[in-house]
Amino acid sequence: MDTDTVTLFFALLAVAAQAAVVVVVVLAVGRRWSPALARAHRRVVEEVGPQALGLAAAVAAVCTGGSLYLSEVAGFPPCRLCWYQRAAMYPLALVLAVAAWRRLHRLRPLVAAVAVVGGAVSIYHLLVERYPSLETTSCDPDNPCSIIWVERFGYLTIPAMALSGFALIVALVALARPSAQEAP
Amino acid sequence: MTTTRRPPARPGAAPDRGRAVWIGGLVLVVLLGIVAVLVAAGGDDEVDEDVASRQTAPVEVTTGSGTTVEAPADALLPTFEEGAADEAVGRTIPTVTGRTFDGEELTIGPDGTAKVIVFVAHWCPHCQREVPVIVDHLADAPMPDDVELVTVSTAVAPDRGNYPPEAWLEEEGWTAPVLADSEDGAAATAFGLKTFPYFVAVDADGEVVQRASGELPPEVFDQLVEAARTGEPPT
Repeated sequence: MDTDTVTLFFALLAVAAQAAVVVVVVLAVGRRWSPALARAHRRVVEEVGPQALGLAAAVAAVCTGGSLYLSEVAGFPPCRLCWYQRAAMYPLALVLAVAAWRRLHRLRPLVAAVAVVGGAVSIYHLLVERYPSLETTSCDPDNPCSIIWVERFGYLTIPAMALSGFALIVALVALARPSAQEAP
Repeated sequence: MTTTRRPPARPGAAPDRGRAVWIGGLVLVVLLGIVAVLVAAGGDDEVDEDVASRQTAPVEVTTGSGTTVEAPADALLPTFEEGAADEAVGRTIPTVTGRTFDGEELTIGPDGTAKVIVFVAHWCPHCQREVPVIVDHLADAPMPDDVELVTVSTAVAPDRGNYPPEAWLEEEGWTAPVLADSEDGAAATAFGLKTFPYFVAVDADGEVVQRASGELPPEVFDQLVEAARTGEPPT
């Protein structure tokens, strides 16, 4: 399978993640005004809530795998800002897996904080891609953060995919609830 | 699925519902994978091998007097450092001979004509922004007759985006002659390139008058042209 196919797959996953985040945000905000949205929100929390930490762990694991694919298989060397995002994403995969397995719901704020920091770096990286003068006035031949290695659908660059992952992790962590059986 | 009896919806049924959530997620991922394979198989935006082969070409570096460089250090300009006094000023530029994208031989060296040499990399966002700035500026204020504008396309990397450089420069309406640097960037090294875009202003005697790097506004570009024309760096 070639790099083009795989990056397209990642881009589609990112679009799905963005759609999921939009749904969660719309439900969370809209439930204040619309009884129908409030019902839908309750339903989603009921269905997804108990699985949300596990799903978030899966998202972090896919992002980690994707990031390793891009650097180790596709051969795109990670830049400085990529490494900051990796520093947030890689531990999330582990911590979320343990949190899901041991039902450690009290870790939610910690996990969300790490994901928000990672997402903030992604946003800055996106800005550097669009406005390279934020970081430099000329390009180092080595590996400036402003190089766009992958761009899908006109907007999905690698940090945009990372941001989608971080946002979905935050959304899932926000939905996470102990199941009725575990509830005290 | 081994479960045939579905318990009624109640809080205790969470594990079964959970399975549905996971299966749903997995099905979505598999579907997206299938779509990616199908779409990628249909599209073919690979660059033609012929085109790819002419984006770089061997470059011969010789000293100003025309001897091939065995110990290249003699001919090379020192690496350009922004902000420091430029040791290259007053030194004769090396002669680099290579090919354009069309395969024609092109030599850049001390040939009696003042020139501004611009080094660009197709994937570099600063170069991508600088090229149209210069194109627009030259449309209003063309190069003086006694100063030549020449280009070196260097650091070619097919996977870094905006490839091939030939198509990029053509699309931007770049009309100055372009030397395709070698894969190891021999021309860029010979001229002491550190970062791109990179500019070397050379007077009619073939000596460096001024060097610069980064995105230059049109007025600074004009200063370089003027420096090359007069042989005097701007004060």
